[in-house]
Amino acid sequence: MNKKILIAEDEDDILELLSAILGDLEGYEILCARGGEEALRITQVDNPDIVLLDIQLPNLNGYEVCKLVKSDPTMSRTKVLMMSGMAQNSDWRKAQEVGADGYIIKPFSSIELVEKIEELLRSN
Amino acid sequence: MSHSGNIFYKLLTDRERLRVALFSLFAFCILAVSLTYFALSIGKPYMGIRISNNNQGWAVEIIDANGAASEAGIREGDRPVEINGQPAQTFLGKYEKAGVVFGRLITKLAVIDDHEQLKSAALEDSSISWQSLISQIMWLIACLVFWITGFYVFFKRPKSIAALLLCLCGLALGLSLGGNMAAEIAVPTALQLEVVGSVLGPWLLLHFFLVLPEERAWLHHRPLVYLIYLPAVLTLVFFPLVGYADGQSLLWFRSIRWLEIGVGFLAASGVAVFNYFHTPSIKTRQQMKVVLISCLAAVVPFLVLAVLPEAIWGRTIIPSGFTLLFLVLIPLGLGYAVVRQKLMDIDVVIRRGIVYGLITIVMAAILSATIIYAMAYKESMGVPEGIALALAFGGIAAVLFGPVKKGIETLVDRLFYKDRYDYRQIIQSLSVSLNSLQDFTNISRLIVGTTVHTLNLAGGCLFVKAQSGSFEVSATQGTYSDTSKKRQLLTLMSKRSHMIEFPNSASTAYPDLAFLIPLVAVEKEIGVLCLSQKITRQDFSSDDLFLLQGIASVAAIALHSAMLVRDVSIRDNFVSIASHELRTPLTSIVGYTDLLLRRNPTDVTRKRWLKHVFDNSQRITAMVDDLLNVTRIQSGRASLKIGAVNLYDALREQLSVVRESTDKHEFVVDIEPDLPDVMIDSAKFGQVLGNLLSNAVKYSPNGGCITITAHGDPQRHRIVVSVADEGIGIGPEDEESLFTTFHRIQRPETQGIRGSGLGLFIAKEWTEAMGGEIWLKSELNKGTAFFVGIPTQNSDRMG
Repeated sequence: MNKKILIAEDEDDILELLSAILGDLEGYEILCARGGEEALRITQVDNPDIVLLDIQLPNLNGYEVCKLVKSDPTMSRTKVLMMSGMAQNSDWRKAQEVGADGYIIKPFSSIELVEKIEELLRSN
Repeated sequence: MSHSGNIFYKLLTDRERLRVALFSLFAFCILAVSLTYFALSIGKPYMGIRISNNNQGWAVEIIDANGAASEAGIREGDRPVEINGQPAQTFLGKYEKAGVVFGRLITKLAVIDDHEQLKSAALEDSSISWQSLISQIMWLIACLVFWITGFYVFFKRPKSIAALLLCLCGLALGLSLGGNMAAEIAVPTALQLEVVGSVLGPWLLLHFFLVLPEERAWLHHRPLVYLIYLPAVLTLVFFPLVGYADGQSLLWFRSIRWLEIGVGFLAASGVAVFNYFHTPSIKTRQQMKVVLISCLAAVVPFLVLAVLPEAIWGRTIIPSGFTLLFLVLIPLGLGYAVVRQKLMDIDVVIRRGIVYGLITIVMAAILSATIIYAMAYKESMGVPEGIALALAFGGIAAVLFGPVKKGIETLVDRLFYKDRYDYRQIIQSLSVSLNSLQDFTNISRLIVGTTVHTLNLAGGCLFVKAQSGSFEVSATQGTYSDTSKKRQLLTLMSKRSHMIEFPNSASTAYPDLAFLIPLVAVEKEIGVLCLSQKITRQDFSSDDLFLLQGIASVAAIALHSAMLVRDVSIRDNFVSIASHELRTPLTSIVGYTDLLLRRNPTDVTRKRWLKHVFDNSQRITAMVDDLLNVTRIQSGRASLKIGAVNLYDALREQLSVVRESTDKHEFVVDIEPDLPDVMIDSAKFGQVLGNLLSNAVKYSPNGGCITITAHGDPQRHRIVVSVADEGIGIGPEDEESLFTTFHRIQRPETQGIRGSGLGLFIAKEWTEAMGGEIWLKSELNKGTAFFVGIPTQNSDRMG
């Protein structure tokens, strides 16, 4: 069965980039969201295996989305990989506090991203 | 004309000179008339009587104690039998309608009293009493002083409306007193001018008190203020029609006139008292103090020495004419209030007066008691004992003087100066508390709080100098917490000159403000403490000034060290935010080049990916430019290349760039034709416009109209350019920090809008460096308009 990946990112070119990187891989189904609320809705309905979650999102930010996903038992099996340009330890700590499973700092290479995603899916 | 007079005259424009000349001509005409009246009547006897028709027929009603009738023994209630050589009935018959005849029409009078005794008085036989001569001369002296003061004030301040009104008041007084005297004695027709003078006088005085306070300058050119003359004008219009008959004014109209004059004076004193209690400016309060004290000093002797004894014992202590002399204090007080520009420490003067007055009374009481006791002890005393006693009293007085003075001062302070404190103690404890604080905001709050609380001020505000050299609000309290007040103060700060800030002069620029105290550390001004007046509206004492000096130096040191700490943390924050802003576009660049190297996409996809790489490289370039600009501004190393720039060209260039970036927006351009070139740095001004335009596009995500206007503001020698959008607007909570680095509006609608948070900071800094000003008007969800005022003349602030 295909693994579902939700990409939540508000900047169009990065959304396109991520879909291009992941869409080329075998066995993945890509879902997209441009805002926090949309990301939450899709997570609820489609139960993706992993959410690639940008921190700066309109409506609800990444931390808030992650907190809601992780506190809801119907969604909590979804892995959350947070992405941000914030490179400080405090940001990573904040992500851990809201229950994120991983954290990736922008900019990253495609290999780095794919490795992180596969590692998270394996641990499931 | 004197030398100084010549200088003043040269400072006036032709129109003002004409105005001065016309007014002088008018004033001298009035003066000549008044003086003629005085000359014709002073020293001449007068009847000083009023005969009126009551139920029992005609009888003497009011009698002037100094008049010829009174001299001849005529008293109130006597019945006239012969007037001016005619039988009384014949003469009085003409005045049945009026029911009253004034003395000025009577030159010869015979009456009988209750005991049927005949008494007669004739002006040609009698001579004036010395008491009435004194009164007449005193009135003339009062008028002379008023005239001299009025003219002096008018020529000293020819542009001041208050000075002009004061001069007119003097003329009205002269006309009314001279006219009154002349109408009674020599020239019956003088009555007309007397009415004009006396009816207008009080309203002129009211007008004077309305326009004198500096903070009421706005009233000067309001035509509505002239409505106060309406009652006077009505009286003057109706006087010849219904109030005048047979050469004299009618009784009922006279009462109305007196009523009106009374109301006018009450209104004038009411406004003076109101000014005193409700003015925010110390200067006005002092002016009113001077006026009120001089009026009291003028009236009280008259009441105490003449009116009261007359009422109680039936005779005055000194002739009432002399007490009139005190009236000259009124014009002197009024004139001083107009001319005086600087503030004086009037509370200190008054306090000293009270203290020494009380000391005199206490010492006199102690000495008298001792003398009385000594006299009672030994009734007869030789010379040596007398000398010994005098020396002993002197000794007692010398010993007691110190404690008595101290005691009275404490008493006076406790009664009148409730908010006294030990300033050394306050400074010491402030210094200790400041040392224990680290946080910049808390330190600022403590400084403002302590000052405002100790001095019982209405408000206080601390500005600190940011790295860029501009001022930022770091703490406010009381009335200064208001956003519009803060903005007013900031404007004042940017325009202030170092010469006028300590101690009180700031109040003239902004009546609510008492002090602008520069805080200096390491020979650099690091901030300014703005303080308002006291809540109780008391003036500042010398202790208050010592306290302020102490607080200023303690605060400067504490702020300086807190600033050093803050600068380091700001730099850390700056690096962190800047790196994040650079990482986002880098993600695209790294990601797409990575994909391009690994895969072999179609031509269309390849082009799109390369476009992403290109756009994000541009974004990084712009960001790096912004960061460099900010660093340059903050280190004070920015330099400008000023030249004449055509606004239209500059706008067109920026507009073409921003037009390409959007297809949702409509652009409307409204530029006044024939605007002069502006002296600016064209590249930097381009950045200012570009930032405002791109913000207008970004913050109106649903599109709409973006209006760009440019209009001349010749009064302030500038051109105002505005950029207005119909976007999401800016709330009051953002307006304050809108122009600081990395400030971005945090609202649901703004998430997803890209930006560094540096654009407006750079726009403001560049505009101000070019001698301009930037401001905005905004309404939430309706749109925002930014305005940039650029000087058309070369400003000296460039560099």
